[in-house]
Amino acid sequence: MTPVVLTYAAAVIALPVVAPSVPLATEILIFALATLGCHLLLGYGGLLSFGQGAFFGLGAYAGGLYALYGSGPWGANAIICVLGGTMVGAVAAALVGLVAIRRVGAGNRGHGGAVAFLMLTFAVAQVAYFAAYNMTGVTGGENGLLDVPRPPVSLGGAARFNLDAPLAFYAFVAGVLMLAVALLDRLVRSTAGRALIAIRENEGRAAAVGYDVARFRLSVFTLSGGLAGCAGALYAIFLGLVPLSAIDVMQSERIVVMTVLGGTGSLIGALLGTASFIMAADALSNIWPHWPLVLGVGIVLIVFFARGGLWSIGAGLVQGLAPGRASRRGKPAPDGTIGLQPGARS
Amino acid sequence: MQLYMSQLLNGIGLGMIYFLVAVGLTLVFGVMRFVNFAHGAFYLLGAYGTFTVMQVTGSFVLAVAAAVAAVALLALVMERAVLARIYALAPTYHILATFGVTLILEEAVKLLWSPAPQRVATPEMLRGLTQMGPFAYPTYRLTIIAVAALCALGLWYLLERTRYGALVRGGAESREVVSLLGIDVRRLFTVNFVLGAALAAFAGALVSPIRGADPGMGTEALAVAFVVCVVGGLGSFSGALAGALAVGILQSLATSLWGAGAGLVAYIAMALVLLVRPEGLMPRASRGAA
Amino acid sequence: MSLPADMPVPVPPPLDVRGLTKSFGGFRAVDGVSLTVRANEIHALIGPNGAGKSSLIGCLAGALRADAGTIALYGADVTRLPLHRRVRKGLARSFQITSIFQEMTVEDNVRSAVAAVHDWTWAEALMPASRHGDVNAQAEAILARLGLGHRRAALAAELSHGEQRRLELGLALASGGSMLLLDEPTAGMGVDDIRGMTALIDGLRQTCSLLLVEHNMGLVLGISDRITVLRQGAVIASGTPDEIRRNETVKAAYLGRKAGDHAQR
Repeated sequence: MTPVVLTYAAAVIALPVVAPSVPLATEILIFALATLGCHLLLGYGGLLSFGQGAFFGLGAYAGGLYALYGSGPWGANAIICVLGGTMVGAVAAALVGLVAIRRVGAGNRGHGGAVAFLMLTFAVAQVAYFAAYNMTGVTGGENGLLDVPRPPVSLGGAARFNLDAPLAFYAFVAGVLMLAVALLDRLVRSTAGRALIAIRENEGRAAAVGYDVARFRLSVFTLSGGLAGCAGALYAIFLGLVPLSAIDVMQSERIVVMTVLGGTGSLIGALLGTASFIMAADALSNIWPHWPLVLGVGIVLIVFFARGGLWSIGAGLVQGLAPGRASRRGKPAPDGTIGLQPGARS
Repeated sequence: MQLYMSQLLNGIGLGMIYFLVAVGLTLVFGVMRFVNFAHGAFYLLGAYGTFTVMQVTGSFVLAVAAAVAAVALLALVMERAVLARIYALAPTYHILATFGVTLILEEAVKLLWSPAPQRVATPEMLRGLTQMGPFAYPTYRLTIIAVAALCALGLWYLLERTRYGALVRGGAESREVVSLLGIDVRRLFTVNFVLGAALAAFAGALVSPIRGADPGMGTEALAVAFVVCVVGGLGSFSGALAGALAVGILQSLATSLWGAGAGLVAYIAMALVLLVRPEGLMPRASRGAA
Repeated sequence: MSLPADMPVPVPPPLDVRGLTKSFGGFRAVDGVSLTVRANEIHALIGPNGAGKSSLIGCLAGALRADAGTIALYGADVTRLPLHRRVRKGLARSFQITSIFQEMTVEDNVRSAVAAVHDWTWAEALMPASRHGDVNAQAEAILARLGLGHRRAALAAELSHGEQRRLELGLALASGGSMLLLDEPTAGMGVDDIRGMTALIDGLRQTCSLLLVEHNMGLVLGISDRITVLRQGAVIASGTPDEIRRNETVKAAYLGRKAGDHAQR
């Protein structure tokens, strides 16, 4: 168990108590999955995607449709629902990546490639929304996909666990999240993870030492799409419906905001960003409907003063308390990404 | 035939609007290597500004002029207060900061007006149809095409024939060259940014009698402008024009064939273009270190 | 690699360039360049500023796509290969402007470069980096060769300029390539550092063939086996240091250098 996995485990146990309600805690964990994908892409791929909402939404529709119409031995199983959403998100991201990442050629001066990637993913978010809006037969259009049942977890045979109770579903989501975190934590500390850091640090040099930058990026983008799709599927069976807002551009923007708010210095940032965003949104939206105004100001201020996000503010505080070891952590990476050294060179 | 002719003209009109939005984005990116996520919000404010001034004064021309001027002023403030602080940062931060500004502006629109769409009346003298041989076409839409074409021509002249244009093109090639010439790069940036914002606002103002004004129109225009820029080649004037017209015409023709899917057709076509030509239709000649 | 002179078995040279051309807009940065780097030789590439040396290196490494001409690496045509594939075929480069992984440790810099050319299975690639003993050992050997062993835990950004230049060279060595393109390895170095770097480069010919872009004429004339001179993107002379020293065209090019420098830009 690494510090990152332990922190997540502790948070997952504490959240139902700390958060105002179990459903809100569940929502935090669900979105943390999507944020982790965006986090990975930005922190390790050096790419900002404004299209994660599209993969989230696709995963939601896939999960919702499965829960509604899945039958036979492969029907009514939350695990298959989640895997299906993950696959759909990953395949969609891979297809988008084939077009968008080709533009991010190594040695592309002036970051033109990363910019084109951002623009294209933003357009993808818009396209996905249009498509969902118009394909009323499949998605329910503006009304959303309604009456989505919550399938039980089935491990074959008689082992079936009902997820209808809020805490039971929370535990299921927590299990999925912990699995994802354990895998990602391993990834970022692996040889492949170090390659990703190298690419983020200096993509021209990474290519010059022999890394196939586009392939690495495509892999990370696919993974991030899979995580978003996974979150989407969970969201569908969590709400019992898939609202059109699950796939709108705001959804993509929300995922970006949570990522940036948390900072990409450590995987823990994704959880920090998601939890604080969702809890703040929950509290503020009750007080003032125009709270996105505050959010906008907050984002500008983060760019001005705290580019490492909440994680680096926290890490800075901890370091300030612990004397000695002055380090460069917390300084934004010079190449277009936000945050600190991932994996924290431990 | 009449149908296709008018769809084609609709497409050209739409394309010219897209061009006005995209060209500002591409100018700002080309010269400043800056991606302005708030560009769509300028378009949005252009439409709302026109709506309000038109309501107060009743004059469309005055409304357009006032809206464009107001947005230009806003852009000036934004360039000084926000952009100036973040030019040196990586593009990701440019996007994030201007995204924050977008949230502020879009929410302000909902707060000051309302989340509901607003209608803008077509100016009196431009109502009705114009007969062109066997075809009849709405006068106001023809006016848009003409005015936007004039704008494009003016921009072309500005970029190709004036000292400002030479600087803009020089700046796009190499920032050092411009500063070596003893030009205040900061001022060039400001002028350029404000010009881009004014063009977007102008597009929003022009289009408001046709589509009205609603809080989501900025995002919509931004997505299209992004696609136009990428497909046309980032930073390329002619690319923006060609890309915008292509998207506009495609979208418009698709509407008559497959109403619901029109929004998608253009995007799919663009994806195909990028598969074949990843660098866009008209990439700027890139200069490596010689 | 060395063969008896009386046995002319045609071994393809490490690098053989034919008629390479690269234009930017209307400007021909590389204009029909042909040159051959022989096995285990240090082949210097010189010329006034703006002669197209860096563009040529960029084309050879694969960062720039040549408009015309061919590049053969050990006899295999690599003209159309993307740069990371060329590295796997034994071509490695260093940069004129230091290009290292600034926010990584010195050790991780070299390890990343070593790992780049390994053929990993998915399972291996996802294993913790610390478990790949062979990569770490190779990286260690390179650090020792660079004389950076004692700085292994420092961040690359914290190194002195001279140390960074050595790491820059080290990243090229780490890929295990045997055909090296070195773009001004001594750029910005002090006299003492240059001496160390010269010795390092001189020692490389034991295992590698080098194409060396360099402005330091003392260094070039001292360690090169052959020299190719570029002017305005084209080769104006090629030969041994002695031949180049005596070449009238070269003298003219360099005497006119100051004027030429400004005219270029």
